[in-house]
Amino acid sequence: MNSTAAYRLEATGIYKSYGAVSALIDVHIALKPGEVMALLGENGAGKSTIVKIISGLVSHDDGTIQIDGQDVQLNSVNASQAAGIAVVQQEFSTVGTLSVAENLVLGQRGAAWWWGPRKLNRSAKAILARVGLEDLDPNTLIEKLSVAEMQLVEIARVLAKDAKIVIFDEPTAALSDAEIERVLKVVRRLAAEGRSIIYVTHRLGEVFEVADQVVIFRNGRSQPSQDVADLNVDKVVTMMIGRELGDLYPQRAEALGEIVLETRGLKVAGMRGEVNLQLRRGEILGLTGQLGSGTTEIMKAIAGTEDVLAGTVELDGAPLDLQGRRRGILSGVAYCSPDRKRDGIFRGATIRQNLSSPWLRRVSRLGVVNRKHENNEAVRTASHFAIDQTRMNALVGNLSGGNQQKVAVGKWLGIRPRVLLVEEPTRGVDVGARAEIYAQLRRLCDSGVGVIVSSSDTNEVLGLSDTIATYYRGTQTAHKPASEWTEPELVREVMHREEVTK
Amino acid sequence: MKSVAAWFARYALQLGVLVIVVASMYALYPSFRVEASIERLIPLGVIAAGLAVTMIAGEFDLSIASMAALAGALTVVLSGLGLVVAVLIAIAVCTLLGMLQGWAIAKLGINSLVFTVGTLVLIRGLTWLVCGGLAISIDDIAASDIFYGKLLFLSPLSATGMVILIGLGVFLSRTRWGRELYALGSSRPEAIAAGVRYSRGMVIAFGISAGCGAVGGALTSALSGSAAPNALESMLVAGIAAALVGGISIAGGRGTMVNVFLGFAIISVLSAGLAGMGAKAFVSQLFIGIFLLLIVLAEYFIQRVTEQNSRKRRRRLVQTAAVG
Amino acid sequence: MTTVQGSAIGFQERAGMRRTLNAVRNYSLPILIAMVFIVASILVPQFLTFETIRAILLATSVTGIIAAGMTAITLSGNLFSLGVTASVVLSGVIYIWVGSATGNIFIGAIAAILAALVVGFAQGFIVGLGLNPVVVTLAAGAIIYGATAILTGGEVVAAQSRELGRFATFAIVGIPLPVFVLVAFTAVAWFLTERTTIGRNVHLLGSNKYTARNSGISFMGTTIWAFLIFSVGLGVAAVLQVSQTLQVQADNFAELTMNVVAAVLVGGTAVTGGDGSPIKSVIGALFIATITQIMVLVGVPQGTRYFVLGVVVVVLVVTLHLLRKAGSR
Repeated sequence: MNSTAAYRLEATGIYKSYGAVSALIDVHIALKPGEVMALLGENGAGKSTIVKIISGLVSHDDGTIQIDGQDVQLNSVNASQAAGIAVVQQEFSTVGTLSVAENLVLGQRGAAWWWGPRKLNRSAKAILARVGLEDLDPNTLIEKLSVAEMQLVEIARVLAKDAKIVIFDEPTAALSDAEIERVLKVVRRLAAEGRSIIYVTHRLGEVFEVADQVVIFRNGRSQPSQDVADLNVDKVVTMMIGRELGDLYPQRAEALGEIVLETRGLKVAGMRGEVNLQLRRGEILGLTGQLGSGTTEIMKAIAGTEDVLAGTVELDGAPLDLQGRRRGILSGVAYCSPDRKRDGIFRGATIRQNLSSPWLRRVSRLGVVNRKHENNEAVRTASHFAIDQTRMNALVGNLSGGNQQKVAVGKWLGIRPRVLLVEEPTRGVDVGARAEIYAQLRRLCDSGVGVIVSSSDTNEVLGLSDTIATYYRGTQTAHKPASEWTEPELVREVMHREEVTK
Repeated sequence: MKSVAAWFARYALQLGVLVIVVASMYALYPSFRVEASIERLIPLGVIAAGLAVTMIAGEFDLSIASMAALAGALTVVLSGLGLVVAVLIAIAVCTLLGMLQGWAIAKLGINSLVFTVGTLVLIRGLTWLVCGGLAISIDDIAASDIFYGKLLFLSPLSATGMVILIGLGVFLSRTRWGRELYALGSSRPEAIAAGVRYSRGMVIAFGISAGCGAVGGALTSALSGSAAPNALESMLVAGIAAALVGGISIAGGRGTMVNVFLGFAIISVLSAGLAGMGAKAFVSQLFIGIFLLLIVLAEYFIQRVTEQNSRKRRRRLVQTAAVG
Repeated sequence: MTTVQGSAIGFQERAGMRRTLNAVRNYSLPILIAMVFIVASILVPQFLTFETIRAILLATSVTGIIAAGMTAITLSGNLFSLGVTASVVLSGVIYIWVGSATGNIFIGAIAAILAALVVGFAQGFIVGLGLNPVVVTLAAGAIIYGATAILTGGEVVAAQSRELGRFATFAIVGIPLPVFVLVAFTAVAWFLTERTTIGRNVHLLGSNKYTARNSGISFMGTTIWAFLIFSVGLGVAAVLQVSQTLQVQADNFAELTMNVVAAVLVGGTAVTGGDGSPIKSVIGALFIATITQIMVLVGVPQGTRYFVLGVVVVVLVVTLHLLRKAGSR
């Protein structure tokens, strides 16, 4: 005789691997009605994977999921929605050319076939008021909204769905304090209505304000859930840190050279203040902060792919041309994007072709590629990164994440860069490849190159960098040598810097 | 009042061009009559409308002109059943073919541009087979008479064309399936993640496209009493030009039937006026090409200017914030 | 307790399956042509004759040269040029005019190629700005057609002397010159796209234009080069075509654009860019020409030929698409 399940949602023994990388190992989550559960953990620890599994975007390799005591197969987004699950995603999922009102009803099962503007607007206004957007004209096209308004509309969309289980994935990245308060109020109200909430965030302040339970993810495993009442910031930080610094990271630099890159009064969209950074030869400067902190905007500004609103960047004392990547590469600034699948690698081209893509002209004469020189240089890069040299003709799209990332970073060696900018150098990469990438970055520095690494993985930033600059919600909060940081301090700095928001 | 002004602003470019074109025609060719241009709603207007629907959904239906020819051939071949019945059957058959096409494109996950390159030849071949390789005619010439005559200043054909355009306009702006086509066209992954059914959207879009083509071809044949295997070939380029000149975005997700009508009007007035002045057909082709190029270049530059302005605005805000 | 199955096939097995599927995709067309040849030789009496083979090769040469050139545009991710017909007419007219005026067919040919290069550069530039290639080439085609028709008054432009036909009548061991030009041009196009930095950039741009931008590859420059390669092919093909007919009129070659696009697609070059080769497109043109010739020999009427061709294109395009999808899993 089965007892009636006390849990609204129970996921047990969940495993998920992407090739050689284990994303989730024996994860267990149990959620009661009316409960708010916060998921915490570093990037890559497994939070977004379990969220994707519950939303039906990704299938798990092993384990069961039960809703109200019944086994469910969440094979698709439709199946997940049918089971009463709604998700506010990290990436925006609204349609830009439709109005706010239309987006609120888009794709809903059982929606009316007639979308008269008056009817849509009336129901839209009611929902928008709940997220503080009562003054927004529901006829406005989504693409005309500010990022903050878009994020609030995302949340409003979920309210329209009347779901039993609501998942919020980083819902406040782009919001001001007042707007965050609104969101938290919405979350509390939903819980009061008896719904179950999963709240994924990097901001510890919000966790303590709104969550009942906390599940901490570490290296793909979930820790048993704890009552928020029993926790404080320090305890949480300690539980999140798992890895020993150990042998993964090479030795820090002993002496640094003269300044190779400097930003003066740099103002970038999305940052609150000026950015003043200095990078020396042989130095690995780590920028760290979570989603919405501004690190990615800074990197892209120096790389020349995002607008600089004010200020300058100097390379070896001379102003750096920030008009796009071509000029940057010619000046000797290399840039690795955080999303290799989108714009870091050529999946349909061979390893050799990928490795040679930024410096092809150097091994060509009169426009004809000297294949022997190209191969020699490519093989040399491959050997540095421990890429199998017999596979130079393999398509990069078929490689593991680690090998792809090695190609994405390695190809820049050939332009003899003065500065290398790398965002998220080991996202989705297995441990073995990570060590090789770190070793090569350090070797590059030893030869006189300056490297800026931007990463949301605090362990990685601490282990790899010589100097660390931290960012929180668009402002630089600290800039110290790495030796002066401990990991708990660093984690706390990027997740709970309340003074900044005043 | 604000919405009227907004409406005008939205179609300002096309309205301006239309006014200039009409005025030029009247200036150059005194006996020019605008109303005559409306007649070309069948087939040009409805074909442009069909093309617009697939473009809005983010796809391309190159087979629409071939569908039109097929419908015309079917109409003539079946005319023994009564012309109106023949027209309706032809439209129904082609619409079903179009829906099948849309379903195949969705299920295969294939690029519609690539797929319809093949089907445009295939359906043209079908038309050849139906025609028996020759131009064919209806035996009873008098049967076409009901398609002549006028209601107000519209003939039954152009009235049908207007009804179709207005109907599609309402469909695209006020119904759930219509709005879903916009979603699929502009932000397909987001739309599908939200729960919009991609295959249903494709079936609807390509069904409408084929149906519009069929209306154009069937009625043209009913009016003229004949059909030919290579009929309406030039309608593909003319229809694409009309849709794009009118302001339908080839990238998908944008554009209305008002755009289609304005584009059709510009192209139609241009062609009719030039023909009336005694210019040969290729002169209007030249102008159509020039207009098409100018309009897409104009939209490109307008977009770049607005982007640069918003960048300048952000810079100024930053500087005033620094000072203040 | 139910479990959800992950991918049942291991990493290694999937790599092997991928290789097989991709090999099938790359070699299916040559094998198919060989099979068709064998079957046709057995079933159709006049097939395996010199005249038939020569007719097939001649029919392939014009379409094949343009298709080889257009492959550069497709590889770069810029889809197709839909203005082939108009440019070929223009170059043909220029060839006859300049060739007659100077009395030198080579100067006429160069003028024809230059004309194609000029209009091709303009189109490449506008597409390089970021405008949609389908729209730009369609518009350019209409403009060029209209302008050419106005210049010629819509009349036939005929060559006064048979000299202008020398490019078509000249033959080596009975094989007409256009066939050699086809082979030579395909070799050059292959070299350009496989062995030069421009060609590599074309491939990479088509593979991922965002990564290309981050790697310093110029979208505008690479696109223009692709259009220039294509334009040379257009000019050469126009000269060869007009040499055969010794006249040209604005309305000619109406089906040429679609034939060339079909050849590229059937040949197996991916429409998304980054995967394909000029040689494949020529093989596609050869396949279409072979099927057409067989049907003519057998006495199939034009309409049915059209229909069969449509079926062949659809079936091949869909099969290639499915093979590509399965081979990239």
